[in-house]
Amino acid sequence: MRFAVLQFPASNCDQDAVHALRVLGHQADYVWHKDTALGSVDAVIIPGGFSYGDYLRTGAIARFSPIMTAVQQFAAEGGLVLGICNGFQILCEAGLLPGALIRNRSLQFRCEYVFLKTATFNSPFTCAIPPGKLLRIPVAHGEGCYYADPATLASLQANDQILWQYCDAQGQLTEAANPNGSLLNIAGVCNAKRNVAGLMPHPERACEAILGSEDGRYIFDSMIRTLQARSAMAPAA
Amino acid sequence: MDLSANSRGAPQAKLAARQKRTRHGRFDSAACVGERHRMAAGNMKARIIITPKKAVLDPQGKTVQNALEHLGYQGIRAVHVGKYIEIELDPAADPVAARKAIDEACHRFLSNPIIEDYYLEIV
Repeated sequence: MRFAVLQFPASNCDQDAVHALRVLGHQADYVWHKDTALGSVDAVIIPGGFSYGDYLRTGAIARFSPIMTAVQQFAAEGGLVLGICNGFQILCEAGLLPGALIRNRSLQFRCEYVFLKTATFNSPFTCAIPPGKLLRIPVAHGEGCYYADPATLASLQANDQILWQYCDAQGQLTEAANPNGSLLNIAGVCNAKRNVAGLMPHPERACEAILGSEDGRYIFDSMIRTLQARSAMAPAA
Repeated sequence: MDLSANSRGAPQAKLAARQKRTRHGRFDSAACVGERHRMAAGNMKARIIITPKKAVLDPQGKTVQNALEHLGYQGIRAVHVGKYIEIELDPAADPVAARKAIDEACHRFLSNPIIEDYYLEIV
């Protein structure tokens, strides 16, 4: 499968994402934010970092980069888009995902491993995660507190759009296990069409045993499984 | 507000009427008419104050409030920390059109309506 990994000024997890995808045996190419086309790709990753120095608000300037028009189009056509950390913030600013990410309740930058409970396996980003499996994946952010108004939260719940929630090692959604004060311990969500997702933790930093965890693979494997199923269903060219 | 920009010496009551402000993207034509007069004096600026919505957690405001109380300042009910943006505009521009454009920019880009309110004035 071919992945596009976007690069904005001050993206800093782009190389990690490309590396992880190549380790998983897939093709991953950088796409510069000033480009206007994604090329022939199967999925798009918007990586972490501090695009445009987080000026104004996280993701607020990046969302207007030329490449984002192509991403909007790709998403509208059903293409898979995953935003990681700053990528999640960019997708929320772009209106491709509901809600917003604000300053951590502690006001501290949190850089540590967290546990994630998968709230639904019904998505292209979670379908390959073994039921009951808690994902141990690192976070590294200062503005990852997920906020949405009560009506939006209710619709996220009603439509099964919450993908991951911060939990403790036993899978309990406790306040102590929540690194940033996110409402409902939300770590990641998807859109109503379920083809665009974002999460604050970094699965690309947890794809190799030598790095301390391979749990991030489940998320990319879910996307790959979905893409393989799609290409199997598509008529032969 | 920089009253010295008003070189025509308008009576205070009229001046106050011209200083009508808009919030949350409401378009206030009365304020714009007043602005048109004042613009003749020279500089035109958009001043934008962005604050977190009351329903949104504001840990920074809360921390500043705690610090103020720690310093002995009393009678503080709440602190909200936001941002201030000043945009210098072409003095020859039509202030009504300028307000409309900046108001749109506030809604679309300068603030995030999910988490923030804004307050715009053209001076």
